[in-house]
Amino acid sequence: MPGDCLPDVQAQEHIAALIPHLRRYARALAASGAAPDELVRATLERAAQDLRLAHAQSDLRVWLFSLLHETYVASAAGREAEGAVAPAGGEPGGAAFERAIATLPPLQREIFLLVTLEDMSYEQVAKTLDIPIGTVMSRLSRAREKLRLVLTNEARLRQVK
Amino acid sequence: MSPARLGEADLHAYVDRRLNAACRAALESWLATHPDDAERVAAYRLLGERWRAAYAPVLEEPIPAVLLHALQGKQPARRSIVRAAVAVAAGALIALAVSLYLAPAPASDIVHRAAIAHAVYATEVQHPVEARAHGELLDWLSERLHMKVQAPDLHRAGFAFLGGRLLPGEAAAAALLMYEGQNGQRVTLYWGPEFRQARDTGLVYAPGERGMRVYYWLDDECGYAVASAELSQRELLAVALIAHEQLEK
Repeated sequence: MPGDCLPDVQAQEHIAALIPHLRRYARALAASGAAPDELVRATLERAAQDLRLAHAQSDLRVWLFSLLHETYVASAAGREAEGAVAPAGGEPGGAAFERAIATLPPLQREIFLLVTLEDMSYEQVAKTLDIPIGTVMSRLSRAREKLRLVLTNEARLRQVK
Repeated sequence: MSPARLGEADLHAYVDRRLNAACRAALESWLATHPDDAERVAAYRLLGERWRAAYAPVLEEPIPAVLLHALQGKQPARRSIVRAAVAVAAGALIALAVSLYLAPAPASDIVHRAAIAHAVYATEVQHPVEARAHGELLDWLSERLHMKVQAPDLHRAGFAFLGGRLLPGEAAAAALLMYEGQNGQRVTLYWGPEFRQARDTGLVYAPGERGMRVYYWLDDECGYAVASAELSQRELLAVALIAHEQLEK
């Protein structure tokens, strides 16, 4: 109801409680790439414009992560990554898993991280990314297999060296 | 049950512990005779553990002020990417500075004063606040601070208003309002008109010494600081958001 600001404050509190989760996801998603907090900031700005909408969400977390997903896809980092090959060799300081996730296409990255870090159900992941659940399953499978191979190879290389 | 042909989706649902007991049992008997798949399950679970461990510390980091401002709609409508990046970097620096207790003088002073006032009075059982009726107390504090002092309603965060007291500031009077939760945990709201500044800071988090947590904000009338030694950052943030909303109306 317009003029009543109580729901807004409540929505703000609930969203604020999820900020650490959004930051963790953005950090893992962007790995060594674009500023992760900038992704979160843009997401929160959009959420703030639609606080009333936030109140109507049955699953606030799915809504916020879907906003972050849209921001990510729209951002230069997302576009760049779309056709993307991994940043060559990775940063000297970058951890092995950061380099490994950079080899995945953006959608696979997102699915893997929502399942792994956020412990989302496959239905929630499908809603967050607005894709069929079958796609969630097939991409999750590809993402895991790729990460497993990349990390196994890297471990082997280290042994050879 | 004889192991059925394993579906790839089932294998992942098993990795993520999302199968019911019957399916889980069926899958486990399949894995018992298919070491390649069993190895994959183990590797996938290890992946999950690695990623969760690597990013777990992010959840404990203080939330940068620029993110709270964005949520409160305090940002200018549109900015260039470069300026946004600078703001993020500046936000990170501020967060770092605050965490090292090196924030700009006025801000660190209010954090320090609010933390001391909380430490001294919140532990007081007999006389944590002035023995006065609430209305009379707030009128009196308003008179001494030369501004309207009000007690925000924090019931939604589970805290009831206990009362308050007048405090000496650096160079002028200050006030401390105290709230109590159901389990006796206390939150204080410090009012320091001498910390006012032209530019509104928005909510800023400042972890203090000995487990004390403080959220403060400064506007053109007063500096405010919410302090607690017992609440988590998240709980204190909920309190600070409500107080901020009501006082900045």
